[in-house]
Amino acid sequence: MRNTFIYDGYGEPTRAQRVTQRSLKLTRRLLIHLLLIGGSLVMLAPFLWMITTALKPDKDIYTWPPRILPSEYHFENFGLAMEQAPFAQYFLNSLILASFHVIFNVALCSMAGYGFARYQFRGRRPLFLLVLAKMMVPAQVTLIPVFVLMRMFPLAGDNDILGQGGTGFVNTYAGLVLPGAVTAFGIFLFRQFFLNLPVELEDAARIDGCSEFRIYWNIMLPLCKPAAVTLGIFSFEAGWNSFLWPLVITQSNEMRTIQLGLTVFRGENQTQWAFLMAGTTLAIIPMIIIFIVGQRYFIKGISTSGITG
Amino acid sequence: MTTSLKKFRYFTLLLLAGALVLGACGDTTPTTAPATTAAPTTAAGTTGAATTAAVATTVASTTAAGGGVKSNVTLKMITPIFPDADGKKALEDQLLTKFKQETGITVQVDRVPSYGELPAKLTTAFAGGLAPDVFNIGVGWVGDYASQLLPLDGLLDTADFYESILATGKDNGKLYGIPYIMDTRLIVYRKDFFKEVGLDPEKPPTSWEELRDYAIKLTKRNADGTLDRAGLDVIQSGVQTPEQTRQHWFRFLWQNGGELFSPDKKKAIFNSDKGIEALQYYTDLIRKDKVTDYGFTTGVPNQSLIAAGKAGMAMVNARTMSLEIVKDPSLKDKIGIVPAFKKATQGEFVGGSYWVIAKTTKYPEEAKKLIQFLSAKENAMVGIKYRKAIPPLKSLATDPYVQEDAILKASLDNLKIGRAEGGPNGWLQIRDLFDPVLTEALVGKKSPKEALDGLAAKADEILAKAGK
Amino acid sequence: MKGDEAMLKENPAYSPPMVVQSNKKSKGFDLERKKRRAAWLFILPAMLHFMLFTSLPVFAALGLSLTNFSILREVQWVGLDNYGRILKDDVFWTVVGNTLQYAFWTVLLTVTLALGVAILLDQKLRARTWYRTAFYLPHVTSTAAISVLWIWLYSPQFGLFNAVVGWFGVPKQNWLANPGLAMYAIIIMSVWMSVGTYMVLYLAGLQNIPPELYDAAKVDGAARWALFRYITVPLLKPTTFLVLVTCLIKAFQVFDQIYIMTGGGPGYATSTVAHQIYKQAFENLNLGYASAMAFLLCLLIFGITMINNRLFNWDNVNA
Repeated sequence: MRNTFIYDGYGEPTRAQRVTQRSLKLTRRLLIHLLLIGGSLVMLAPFLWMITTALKPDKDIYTWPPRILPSEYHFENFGLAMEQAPFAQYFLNSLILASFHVIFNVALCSMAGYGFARYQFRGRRPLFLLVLAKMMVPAQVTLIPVFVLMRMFPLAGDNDILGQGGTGFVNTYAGLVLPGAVTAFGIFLFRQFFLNLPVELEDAARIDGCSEFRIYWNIMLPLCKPAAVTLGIFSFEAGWNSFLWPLVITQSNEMRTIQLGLTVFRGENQTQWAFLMAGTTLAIIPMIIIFIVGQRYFIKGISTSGITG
Repeated sequence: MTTSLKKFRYFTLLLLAGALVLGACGDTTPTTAPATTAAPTTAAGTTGAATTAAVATTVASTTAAGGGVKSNVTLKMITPIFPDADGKKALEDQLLTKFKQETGITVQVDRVPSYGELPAKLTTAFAGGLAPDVFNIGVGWVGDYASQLLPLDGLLDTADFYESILATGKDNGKLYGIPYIMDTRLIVYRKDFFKEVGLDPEKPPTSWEELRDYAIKLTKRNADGTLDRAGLDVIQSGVQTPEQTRQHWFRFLWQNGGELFSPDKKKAIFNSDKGIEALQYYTDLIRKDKVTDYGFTTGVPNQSLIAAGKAGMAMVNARTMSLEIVKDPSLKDKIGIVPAFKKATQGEFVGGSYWVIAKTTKYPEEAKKLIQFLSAKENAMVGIKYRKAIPPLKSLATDPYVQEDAILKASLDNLKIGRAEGGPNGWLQIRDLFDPVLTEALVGKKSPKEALDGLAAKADEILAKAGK
Repeated sequence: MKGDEAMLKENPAYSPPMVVQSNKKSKGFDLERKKRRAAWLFILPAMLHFMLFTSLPVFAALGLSLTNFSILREVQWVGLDNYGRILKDDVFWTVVGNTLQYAFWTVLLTVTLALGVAILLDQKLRARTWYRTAFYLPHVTSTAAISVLWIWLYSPQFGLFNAVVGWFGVPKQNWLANPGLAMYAIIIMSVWMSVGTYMVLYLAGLQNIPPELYDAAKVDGAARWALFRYITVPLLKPTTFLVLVTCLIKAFQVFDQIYIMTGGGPGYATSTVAHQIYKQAFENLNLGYASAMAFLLCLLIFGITMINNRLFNWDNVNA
């Protein structure tokens, strides 16, 4: 006998079954939303605290127990925090660093990832393993060799051809940007995405007489837009949040980046809470914008149109 | 230059810049001396031999007799003590501008965020052959850094420095670091809580025993046993610098007549009976007398329990305390200061910053001029006031800046009987071992004797290696 | 291999792989050569950068690990002495244990949650952008700032965590100061922080699955679970491999949150290998020793990645 309420997939659903179906669907949606709202709150709670702290007067921060909401709202904290150091310059420097990371990483890593994923050539596997192995070396131990390399870069910054005499790329934008311009993660990411694309596309293009670069550029890369966007977001963020490398490679205030700038609020014996939180809040805004814009590309149907059929 | 060193450099360069740089190793000038790596082949013939090398190996520019000070030079400085906008004003706008007017010498400053970032900065700069001319080091570093520094004996009239402080800038009898800004540890108490539990708020404890008794009285626990107020905050919870545990314990060690190292600095002796007794006392405060729980904290970095009203007494860093009083002036009347104890002897912990000159500097005379300038009383005071620190000079003890601030005044008293940690070459490696191991004793994972014996064995190993 | 003519005979719809009507052999040969050359040109820029800024420094660091390098002393060749000392050091084995514990839980929880959230947020859903942003937000803020927030959340007296566990009748815990809990406290925080990252990777990976496959399966009446099991999971394999390897490596190199939240304490309870490497390199200025430790860590990560790959055969998809 057929179940009165639950559609079993045979024949036409009855009216009662249609109602059940719809309400089941609604309940399911509701549950998903509840789950996601709960999850989002867990994710957001610390940020709400961060923003309210940014608005608090000092006496609120140092009350015990801590206050969640400020007793009075000090929006001027944002402005005051930015006056504690040349933050406009820091923002600009970070923007330069992060943007170049995005451009270099997306361009060069997609090419390399494409090469690894779509071609057979001798040395492919060992080279790729090398890329993976690179991710495994902690950055702390290559810090000094990379610094020495930047300092002795031939012909840079008054250096002679032997890398002597000047300061190389130390305290320059090139020095800031270069070491992170290509990341093993980026190559790895693109390789994994290019692996998934059907081979027929390439072959069809070859029949049409496309050059290899045009196949990559006009056909394959557009299909990997989500991967490109992902790497773009990650690269921007890595550049924007990097700390140790900017710390050692920059030597003057004019070259410092935002994360270094924020440390002025965290002294050895005191923390300027409101300013630290105001500064941190302002510092994440560019990344939130980039994410909101970028995540539009995570939508079904865009990337795959035209693959099959 | 020995052949092995040459070979070593050859390989270094080969590794770092490839064939391009190969020819360059013969004659590098001091500041461009390439640095770093050793390589497998170097070892082949020379294992154990003096494969000296690497870091900006240069002839120490000794003080040329009567060498004139040039004015058209640029000195490089790395400092972690002037990080923020006010620091820039004090150092660059005020002091160094004046220095330029007086001498014509330009100083390029690299202000790093804090002492936490200083070693990474110095390591890369030295390794890259871009060592600063003038920089800061902290208390206890001098033994490790001495080989890279210019001796500064005779640079200043040192009679005005407190003897105990000056000694901490010396290694093997030579002065390398000029003390600049100082900071000590204090025990403070809350007068209001003293009253509450029936203690006389004008009579702070005067001995270890009284400290413990008062702490027990001041401890307040909730019905479920959780701590509401610590009697004595022994680890300065909430302060973000983890070396506090070690530094607070050193005071007990010294007051008990113990020492960190043997006089020749070759052996660790902090695991003597006196040391064990001192750690036992420290541990008992938590484990037996339960005057606080390990990890009882405000949860807000740099917000001390005592300022939050969650401790009756506390071991604090004088500077943190002064800054908290500035933030909340109502604390001023509530906070009392426990005078320095004498058990077997007196001994209080001193921290601070020194000015030093890298021996690779091309401009030793100009660098010395700069340190003289910065240490001159009225100039020194600019930095000291900015840091809310204590001056290392006797003649500044009567300055109203010190006299009008109870914390600074007490801190200065401690300075006179101050002791500094460190000393031997290898200290920078040893100091890091203290905090985890002391903590293991404090949480009861190891007995004080086990903890200290294990630590001393490791320290001896490091000292033996460093002394070679 | 069959010739094209034979293939044509069997299947009239067969089209030869390339336009090779005349002079078949040399053209195919040319194409192979052209492809090989193209492959090298594609990877060349990245590989040049790689050689210069990675291989060279890594070799240099490998050299350093055989010396007692420090800016504070004359550098001496010490051979494998650093490695020997590390392997004999009980602290090293403690922190290796901590690192494994941290990595196991972080990877397990992060990857599962990330996949779950990504699948939920891959559907058409009202306010999807906001959910996605919310989950990603922890990742955009620097770990330093986040860690400071979490110290407050974990505070034993008035922290949010104790309030939450209080609802379930659990007594107040001293999260970061209790040697038995501190590591789990850090794991929770790390999972919270990194779910968004891997969610993004999975979201991108899900776009790579042709929707036609689902449509076809739905026509066949496949259940939701079956769709997930037989289409999503296998086609996400390259992404999962990426996510697993990245997450694993990151977990093994965890440093920032530990440095700021506990400093490796209490005792050595939360210290990890990367934390010890940092301390050796930049607090003790013992760079040779730190480098040696770093290569031991690499070896460990490499071993685990390889075992992982062998066990699950992650990387054989289309490779």
